[in-house]
Amino acid sequence: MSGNSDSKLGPVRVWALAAGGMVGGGIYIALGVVISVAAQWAWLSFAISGVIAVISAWSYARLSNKYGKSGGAFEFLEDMDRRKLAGSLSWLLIMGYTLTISVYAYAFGHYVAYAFAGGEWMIRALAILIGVGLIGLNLLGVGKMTSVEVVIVTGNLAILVILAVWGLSQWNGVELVSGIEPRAPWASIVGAAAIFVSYEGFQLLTYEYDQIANPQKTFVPVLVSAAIFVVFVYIAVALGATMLAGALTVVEQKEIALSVAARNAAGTAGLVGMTIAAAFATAAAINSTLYSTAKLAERIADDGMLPSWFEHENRFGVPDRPVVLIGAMATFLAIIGSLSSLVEAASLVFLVTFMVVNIIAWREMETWRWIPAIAVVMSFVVGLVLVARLAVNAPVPLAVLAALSVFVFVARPAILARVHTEGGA
Amino acid sequence: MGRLRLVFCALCLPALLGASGNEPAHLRLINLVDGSPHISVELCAETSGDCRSLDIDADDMCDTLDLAPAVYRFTVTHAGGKIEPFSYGIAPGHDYGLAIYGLSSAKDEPTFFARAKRFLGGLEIRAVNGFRVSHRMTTMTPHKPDDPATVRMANFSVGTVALEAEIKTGDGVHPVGVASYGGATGPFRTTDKSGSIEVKPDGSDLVVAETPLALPGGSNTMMYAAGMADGQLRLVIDQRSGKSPSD
Repeated sequence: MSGNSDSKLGPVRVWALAAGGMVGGGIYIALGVVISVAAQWAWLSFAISGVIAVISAWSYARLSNKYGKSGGAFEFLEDMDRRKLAGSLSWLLIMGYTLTISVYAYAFGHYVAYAFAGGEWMIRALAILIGVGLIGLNLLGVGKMTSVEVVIVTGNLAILVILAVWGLSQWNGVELVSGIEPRAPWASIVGAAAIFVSYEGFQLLTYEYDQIANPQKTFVPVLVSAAIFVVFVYIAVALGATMLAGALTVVEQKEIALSVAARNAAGTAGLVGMTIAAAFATAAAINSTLYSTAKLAERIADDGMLPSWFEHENRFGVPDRPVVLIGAMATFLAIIGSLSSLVEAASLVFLVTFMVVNIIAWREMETWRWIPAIAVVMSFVVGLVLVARLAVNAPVPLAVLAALSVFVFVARPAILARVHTEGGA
Repeated sequence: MGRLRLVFCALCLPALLGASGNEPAHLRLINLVDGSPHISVELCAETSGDCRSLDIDADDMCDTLDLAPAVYRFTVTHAGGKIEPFSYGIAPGHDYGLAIYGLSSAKDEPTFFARAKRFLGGLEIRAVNGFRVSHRMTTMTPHKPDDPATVRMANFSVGTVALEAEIKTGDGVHPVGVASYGGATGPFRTTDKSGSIEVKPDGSDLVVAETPLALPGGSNTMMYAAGMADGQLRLVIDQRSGKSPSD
């Protein structure tokens, strides 16, 4: 963990990084999307996705303890001697993280531009600025600043909790459907599918497993409790922000929904506070995701699952080529993509990944196997709904994702056989 | 689906959506149905059962209705028939505009595929009904008087391509945005007190509508593109100004 002290991560810092990794960008852009789909059942959508996320956190943590090393799903599959699947899944994961970074850059651009009454050009300029800026920081070897992240996470969570409590204190149930059509409870499953990416951040901690102090004892309770906490924060924010802004306003201004809610609650002070929280939270989330994804790409290349081109490090010991490639692609997507298609394409990638990890947990664990089995079934149902939703709502992103998946699973071995690799595909 | 929704409304909505605020909400209904000289609308509060009925002429809007906060069920009858009843939540202190739009002669019954798209797509799929008579709610709550005025355009002009709106103010020409059928632009904010609106087919220099527009501070304006006649686009403008509920 460059740029940090030699001390290992204690449970409090691990908890803060896990919670912050999830809250870092997801809630800022997911709320309007989920209310437009599930209306008054948006909170239930967060709860359904949350159950899958909490079980997945439990599976990730237990499997990390079982295999005893960093690397997440890639390592689990490698240790099971499923190298081909490990390689394919890791390529898919890198695509998912790239989409996630683009969502965060998109959110950063919108929230900051809104505070300055900026138009489309400012939104795009800010997305480029944050993308290029954080690529530069990572290249200088200061990509992982754990202590700074913990401070940002704490401030971010505090502001979100204040917003949620403020909103809930003004409870008026009809605000949940203000200006929108009430929907049936099962619309919450569609909502859960659309915003699953909001929960993906905890798994970055599994890439830092060897930096965690006493993980065998602390990792499972810390990761699971962080995930449970985030589920409650999301539910509270979904209800509280809607009380403050009204459902239709959240939908119409979904890119900046929390700023609108904060402005309604506390005027300019609320807007400034939420803009600062959103800017720092999304920037920190971009930074940590870019750092971890580049490290993952380097690790995978080292095992021969990516071309050795990805293993190159600059003089600061940073895998510079993955940092630049992933950062540039994410920034480009943030500029051209629409919010819903970015969020939902990323959600599908992580649903598949979490399902695979829960299948591994179900197969490899000797006790409590019914728990990951529940998550597998739920992920499958929610994943099917998401594919159906993308097919009718965003067929082009779905087709691109499908083509990339076919490419990853079918063409990847052939590509690796043709290029220079170390370790072989 | 209809029966299930009815059961749901009867069992869950009263408890979940109980309204505690007494401040009335303000609603205007706008008739943009092509081919219907007027429409009849009945709206009933789902909890109290209180109902109102009104007729609205073509390309016109009703007077502002002060409504008690509740979920309301709307039944709309136009020259071509009656559309499937629908509900909206009306929250205290908010201003809303509900546009009824589409082609009166189009077939009213949505297909199974259209229903599936609506279920999966939520509010983001606006044109799922094709040119069937449909509805769209917009928040119209005015801003604080010292805040900038906002201007948006919604495109409910049957058969036209995407429309682009521009506004000329004292400091130049600014794009308001582009809206395809059933869609709306984002808000353009301005501190100028007046301007002039131009609407063109997207990608064209042909001006199909032009109108001056007063922009009182904090006002919230929605321009509805209603339809083409003799090469000109009909615009229906809903503008709300005054103190916002938070004042």
